[in-house]
Amino acid sequence: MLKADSITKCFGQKVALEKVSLTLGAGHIFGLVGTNGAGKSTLLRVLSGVLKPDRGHAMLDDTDVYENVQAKQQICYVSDEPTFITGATIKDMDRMQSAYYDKHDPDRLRKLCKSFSLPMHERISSFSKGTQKRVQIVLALARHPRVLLCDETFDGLDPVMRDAFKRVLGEVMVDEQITTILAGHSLQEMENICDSVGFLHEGTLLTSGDMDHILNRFCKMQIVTENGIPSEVLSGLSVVSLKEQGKLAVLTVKGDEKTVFDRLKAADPVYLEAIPLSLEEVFILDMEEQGYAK
Amino acid sequence: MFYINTRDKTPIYEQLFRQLHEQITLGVLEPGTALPSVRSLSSELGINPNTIQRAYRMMEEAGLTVSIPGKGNFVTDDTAGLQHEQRVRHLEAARRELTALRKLGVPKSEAVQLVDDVYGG
Repeated sequence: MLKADSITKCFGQKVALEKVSLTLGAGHIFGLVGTNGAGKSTLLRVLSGVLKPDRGHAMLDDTDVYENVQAKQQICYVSDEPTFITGATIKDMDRMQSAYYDKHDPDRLRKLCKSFSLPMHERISSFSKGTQKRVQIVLALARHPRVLLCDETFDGLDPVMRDAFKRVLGEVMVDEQITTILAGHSLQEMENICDSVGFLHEGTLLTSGDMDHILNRFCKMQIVTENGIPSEVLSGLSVVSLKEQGKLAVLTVKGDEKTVFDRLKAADPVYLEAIPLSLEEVFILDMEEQGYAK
Repeated sequence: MFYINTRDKTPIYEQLFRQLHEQITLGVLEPGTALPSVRSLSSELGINPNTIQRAYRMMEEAGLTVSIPGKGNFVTDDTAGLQHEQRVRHLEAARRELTALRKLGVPKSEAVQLVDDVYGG
């Protein structure tokens, strides 16, 4: 179990993370979504045991991960900027990981390199940026990590490789029950693969929960009425936006679909339908509520 | 064979559930056959194994499959249950179609006429 226990981290005057708490069980994929500079990478670095939080703890099975060799053996952080030893080939990295990580598996690395079509004896620095991301992923999975922290990993991969990565991830999740955090911006991708998500904004984790719960925080309704929606019906709802066009109105409301639907029935609609919201739309609504780029 | 549409806003577990449901009630997946393992399906479709587990759980709750620990999930032998499911499914489809007709402004009398035609009332 991976746990962030009220983590606060400052860089000088800047508060990068403020009281972030999170608990993730084995075999769980968590999507970390956030605005630019929200503190996503900082959170991942703290969880990987590289950065020391000013307050709070990052824990793996009830032991603090900071500078904890045993925990760090099991946690793998895939950074958004690939960095390798200068001039190294995958084979060199293989030897390096064998020396440092007890569970490093050269056989698995060889197989993964094959399925991700990566040459093992060429200098990694000669590869393109996307290919270097692939190298990071195969090196990470070769270590048999229990926790995989991916920083914008999807964003740099082409569709074919993204698909390949998802397949491999699915397999290792069933076989090894690893806990994964995917941080990034491709919300469509997150919506499809994550069990739960969290929105990070200016260092605070605004909302987190399973995907259904997040998607149900707002709803969008299309309604047709003869005489408009009575104001007493509207005032009973926390309406975020309302667009009217003659008899047709489209409104976005905070609240779950069923409650809002039942309330709107009071407006005696000719036609009433819920339009599903995507994670992206919910994220934008949430950020607008926080006053970000409105 | 399953087809997941990631552009569709229907949740993936729901899409999977519907397709499994359809294949079982249509008889594509015969009683007693094993559903693909979570691992193989997850790898084939590139989706989260927990999502597949969820769809499988829904199938079991709907009485369409039985899960045998350590062996996997199998299509139920209970044909009465299957028939009931089929009935529910077709009634739902009929309701959807009727709703569509109503939205198009087709009068009730015409819809009733249709029912009479079919049932020979």
